[in-house]
Amino acid sequence: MAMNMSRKNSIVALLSGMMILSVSCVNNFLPESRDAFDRDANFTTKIYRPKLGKNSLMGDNFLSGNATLPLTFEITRIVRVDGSPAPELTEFFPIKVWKSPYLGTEKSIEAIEAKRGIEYRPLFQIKKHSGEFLMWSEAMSSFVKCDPDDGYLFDVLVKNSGGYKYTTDMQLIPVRESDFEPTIYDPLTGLVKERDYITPLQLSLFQSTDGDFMSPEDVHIYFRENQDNTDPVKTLSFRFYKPDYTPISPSSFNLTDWENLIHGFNMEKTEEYVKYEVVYPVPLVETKSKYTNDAGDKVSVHFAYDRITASGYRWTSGMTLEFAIYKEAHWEIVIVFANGAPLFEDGK
Amino acid sequence: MKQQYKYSLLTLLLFVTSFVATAQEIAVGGIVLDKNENKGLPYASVIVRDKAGKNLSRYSLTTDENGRFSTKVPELSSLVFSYLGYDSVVVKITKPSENMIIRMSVIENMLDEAVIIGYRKISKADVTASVTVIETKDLVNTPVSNVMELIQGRVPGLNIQLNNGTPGGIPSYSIRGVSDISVQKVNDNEYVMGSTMPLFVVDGIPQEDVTGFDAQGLLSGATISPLAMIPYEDIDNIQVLKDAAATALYGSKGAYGVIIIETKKGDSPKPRISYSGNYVVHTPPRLRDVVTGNAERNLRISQLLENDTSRYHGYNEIHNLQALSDSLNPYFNNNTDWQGIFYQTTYNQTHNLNFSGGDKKFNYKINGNYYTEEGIVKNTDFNRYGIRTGMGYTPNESFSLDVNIAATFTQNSTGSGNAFSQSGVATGSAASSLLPPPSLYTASNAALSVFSIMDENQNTSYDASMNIRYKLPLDIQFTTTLGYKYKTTENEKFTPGILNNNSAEWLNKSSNSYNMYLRSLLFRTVNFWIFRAGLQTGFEYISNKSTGNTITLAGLASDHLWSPGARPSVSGGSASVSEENNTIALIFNPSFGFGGMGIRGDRYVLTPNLRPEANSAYGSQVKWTINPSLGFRWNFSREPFADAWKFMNSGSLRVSWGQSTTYRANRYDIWGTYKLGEETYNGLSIIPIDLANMPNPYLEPVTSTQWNLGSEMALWDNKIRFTGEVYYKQVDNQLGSTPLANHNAFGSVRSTETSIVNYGTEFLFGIRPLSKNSPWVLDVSASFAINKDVIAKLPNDVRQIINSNAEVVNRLGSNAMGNYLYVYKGVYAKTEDVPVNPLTGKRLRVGGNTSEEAYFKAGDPIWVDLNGDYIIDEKDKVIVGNSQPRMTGGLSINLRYKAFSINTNSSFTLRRDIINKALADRFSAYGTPKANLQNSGALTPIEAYDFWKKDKTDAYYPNPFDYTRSGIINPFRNDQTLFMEDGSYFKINGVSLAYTIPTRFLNHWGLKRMQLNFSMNNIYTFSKYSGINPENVNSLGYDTSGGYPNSRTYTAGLIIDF
Repeated sequence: MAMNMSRKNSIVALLSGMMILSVSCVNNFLPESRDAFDRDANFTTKIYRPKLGKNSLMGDNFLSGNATLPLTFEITRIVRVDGSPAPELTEFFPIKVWKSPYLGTEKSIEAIEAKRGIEYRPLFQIKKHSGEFLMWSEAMSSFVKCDPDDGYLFDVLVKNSGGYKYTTDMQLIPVRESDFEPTIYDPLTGLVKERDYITPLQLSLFQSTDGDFMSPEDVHIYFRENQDNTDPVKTLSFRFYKPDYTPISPSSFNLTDWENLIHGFNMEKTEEYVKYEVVYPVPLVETKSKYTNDAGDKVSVHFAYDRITASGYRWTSGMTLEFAIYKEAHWEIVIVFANGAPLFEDGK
Repeated sequence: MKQQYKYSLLTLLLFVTSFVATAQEIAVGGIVLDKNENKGLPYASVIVRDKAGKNLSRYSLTTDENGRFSTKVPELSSLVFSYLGYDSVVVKITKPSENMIIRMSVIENMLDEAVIIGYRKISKADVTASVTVIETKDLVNTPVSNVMELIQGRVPGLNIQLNNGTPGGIPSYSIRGVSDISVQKVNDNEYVMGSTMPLFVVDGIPQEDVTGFDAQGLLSGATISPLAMIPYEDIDNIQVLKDAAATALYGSKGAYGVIIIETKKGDSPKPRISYSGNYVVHTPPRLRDVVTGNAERNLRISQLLENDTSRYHGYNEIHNLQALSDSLNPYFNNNTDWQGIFYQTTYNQTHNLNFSGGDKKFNYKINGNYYTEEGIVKNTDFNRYGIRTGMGYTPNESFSLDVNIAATFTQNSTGSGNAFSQSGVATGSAASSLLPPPSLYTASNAALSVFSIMDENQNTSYDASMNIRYKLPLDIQFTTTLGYKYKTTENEKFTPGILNNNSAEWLNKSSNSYNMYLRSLLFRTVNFWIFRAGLQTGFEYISNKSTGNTITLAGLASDHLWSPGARPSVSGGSASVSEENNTIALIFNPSFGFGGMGIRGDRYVLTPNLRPEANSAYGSQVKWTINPSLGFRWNFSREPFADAWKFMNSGSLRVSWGQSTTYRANRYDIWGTYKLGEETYNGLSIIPIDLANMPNPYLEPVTSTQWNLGSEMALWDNKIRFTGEVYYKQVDNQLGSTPLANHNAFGSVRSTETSIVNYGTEFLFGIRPLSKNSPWVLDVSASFAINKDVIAKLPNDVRQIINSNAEVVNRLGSNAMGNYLYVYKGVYAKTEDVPVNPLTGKRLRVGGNTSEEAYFKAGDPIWVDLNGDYIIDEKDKVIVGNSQPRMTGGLSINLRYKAFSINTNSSFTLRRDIINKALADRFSAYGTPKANLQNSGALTPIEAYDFWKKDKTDAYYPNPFDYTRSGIINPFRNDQTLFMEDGSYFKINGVSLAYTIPTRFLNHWGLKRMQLNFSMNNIYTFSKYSGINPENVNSLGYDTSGGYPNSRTYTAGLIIDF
């Protein structure tokens, strides 16, 4: 009986062994589960022209075809056009990045700053899985080659577990930064183009003391960096002047929503200026909010006042200005009514 | 009858007779019954032995034709009851007893059983392929329209999912995994897998109409399964041939497996009339909970007020929505139970009358059947009227003739839905409870159409078949089978004018098909020394002809006034080309055995087989298909060394390889389509080719290649039977479409480039633990199958194909049907938690929209941003899960005690991922509080779910109430892992209880046998699934609200033999 049992056991062992063996070796003859890689997957843009001095995202630039996503992207080489190394783009810089979302409802500068942090990154990067290129605002024309220079050449490796592909000699030609927008500088030379001021986007029913109606051309707006102020908490102020540079009190614009003009804090409103403590850039995030225009790329400020005309009805006047400031400084926006001061008094 | 005598006499002669002086005699009598069926055994021999064990031939006798006996025997003697094919029973006589009941059970030896393979009855000892036989008497005795429902979980490797409760409908079945990865659209947004129906062979005739039956066929044609035309009462057994060594014998149709159905034959020497009738109650499953009436109105109002951009805007919305603000309006002041309107409990009857009789020489049967099932969805039903007759005549050993003739008529209606789903009901029952119930001035057209659309389908089928066997000189066996089938399908649909722009419409689709089948085979075996060689050769001829046409009559008479010249709709008609298709196949099937026939029987069996086949339907470059197979079997229990193994009754090992094919391409794929009378060139009419599809004469048939390794054992007096299989199945040349580059004239070309591999193991255990002498019989059968599918090749040598409509991915080297989903990781408790792009400072958003609403915020779902571009779009979907069941099986327990018997069946499916789209739809309904009350107005209570609220931010489900953004974010999209659930289940399919009333009560009424049946079907499903029923999902694993639910049935039945 004992022999029987052992023989039986050996048969059972043989059977189960055969079963396990035949099941387990099947996998060796089947194709591996690897990603699909499409040889036609490619970048749609080979030359990138980001603007320096601000964060640039260069996306929507890769067609993955039938490749299995996500793909992995890597810049394998980046050099100046003449072939010399480009340490300014390969070395790591302290960069201010967003850590948690800016909502526009933060109540203090600290609250905003708490959402940002410093990270060490190269100034020009590729997103690891989406293939988008990033250029950080810390890159400046002072040490990064920019147009009209031919900039840099770089190669990108795209891969997944099914294959890989190199795209070589893509070109990066940064564009010289402008501290604010709308800019008055020529991006090629960095010099002032034809005039050193900008004009408001819109002006409605502004009447000068002479009784003439003003056009936007009559208002000259200057962006001035107050370099005397060394306070680490940066500010943004608005000043209004008559043609003879005598200040106009901001209070004259009595319908202006000063509290919510921009996302600034600790407003200081005097007879000469209105000053906010702000965090740059302005706007902080290029998305539509109550402070920005519809596109979200500029803040939109609206100054308004009303007066009663000689005919006895109330007349509301408004001025809209859209701008963005990228450079961190104590900026003053000087608004000069160059061809006559606005009329604030009620008619008699 | 003579035969019976002969055997009885033989038994008598076997015993040495002697005469012993008689002691006192006592009277004994009673009945000898078949233990399983409680039927009398006619002419069983009763031998009397004395105390010493000597036979007293003087007393011996046989039972009468009803199995009764009565005699006088000496005291202290014993009675030995014997019957051919049954185990003998010995009873000691101590006192007179006139009402003995002797139950005899069938002798079992697995190797002696017979199966049918390749149209030939073969002893199981000689079968090299994997075959499972199911006797219908072992099944749960409950009336069903389609017998396949009952064998769910019985056959390991045959995966049956009763995913469609449509009366007369078609469950999904596949043998050994996925064989086709194509996906078919059956509804606006519902997709199912392409059909890979096995070949059904009924009484020797392959059923073309069942095999060619796919989703498209169901939708456009008969709307019922052709299998539903065979009454389950008339089915004797079902055999499932799984591996290619068996299916190769069926030529170019067996690639997806073969299922053989044998109907009952007359076997009673005395004519017998058997009536069976059932009264069946179908009840709908648990319906969805719905918020109704005032509760619904309040819910909507508070949602609008609290979630609109401002409360005042919310008030405005409410005032604009009359259904909410005008609560006193009787049109909007309702409390309609929409589901209650659509679903019903139904009461049905089935009747079956069987007249049969016969012996070895001549048998006959006439079976009349009436089956009716009214659907649990109103306006759906299935009725069957059928008569099947069979006759067998065997005048001598060398000739036999079988004739079967059947006529079946079915009538069914699918209401406003189709054979797959009840989208009208789904839409209708999603109407708001505030709306009035359906009427002429209805609030819901979908609802009205469920009741008003008349949709009737009639299928008529006439079948005749004849089978002749004749033993020619030189021991050559000749068999020929001739079958003819004529079938008509008529579909009529009437849509009243009120539902069709005041223009009533009548649609008639009719088709008929003729099917001729002829098969002639010659078979001869030669034995020499220890070898045995056999050869089967012959031919098979199949001819199919079908034709059909469609007529639409529009703008029927109505009192609606049309403006002059207005023509609301056009009547039309089309006729499909009459198609004819003939196949001739040559059969060449040698077999080979060795290892000593003699007393030990076949020990080694080798069965090579070749089956060349040519078909006129094949492409010009593919004329022949060859279905070769090779099997080897070793019956090791017949070896001398196994004699010592007393515990083993039989044991064998077998290994087989085979290839079987199914040709799926049609003539248009091969020859192209030419457009008649449509185009002209230079004023002359031309017949150009249709540039959509390039003809491809190289299309190969679907080829399934299988390796199978199996073992069968019966142990400990047949108390345990075990079958284990390991298989590797490769299905090549799946028909598909390959798009061509746009510089080609043609749009796409049909190709056969896809390969799928399935491999796995299957186990079947049969346990009969009780002793043969016990009055109790307990039969336990357990099946278990593990299958793994892998895609081995895709068209154009690509590695993956994404079907973005069906959210399915086919990936080389992975499981065939992967879901393509967003990965859900929870809910953003607060807006600050949303990931922010470190460069731009912008939050994550959904793709295709840059408005403020597109950015994620508190209460929105966390989807994984796979590529890190801070945009959730198609690029972030991953291949996840497997919509195909990986483990299936079942457990059935049959218990008998004297006149009582209980049959139970249960089945399970493990490791399957299903998508709860119904739940997704329920949540989504909250996203449109002021939208369409007719179609997506039903609000289901969701308090039970853990979803995000302002005061409960740590939740599992996203915020359903944020309706201003739900159109953009679509938080409850169904293609996300949130709704992918484990679809494993264990289902108690059915329990039936039968009681045979003792014969002494019946004599008075002149009845022979009477059996009472009670059964319950679809009893309970154990599952972790959060939806209603994890089985009631489509073949891609989607639980859609439009599915036809499975009903639970209660049956009381009666079987009377006259």
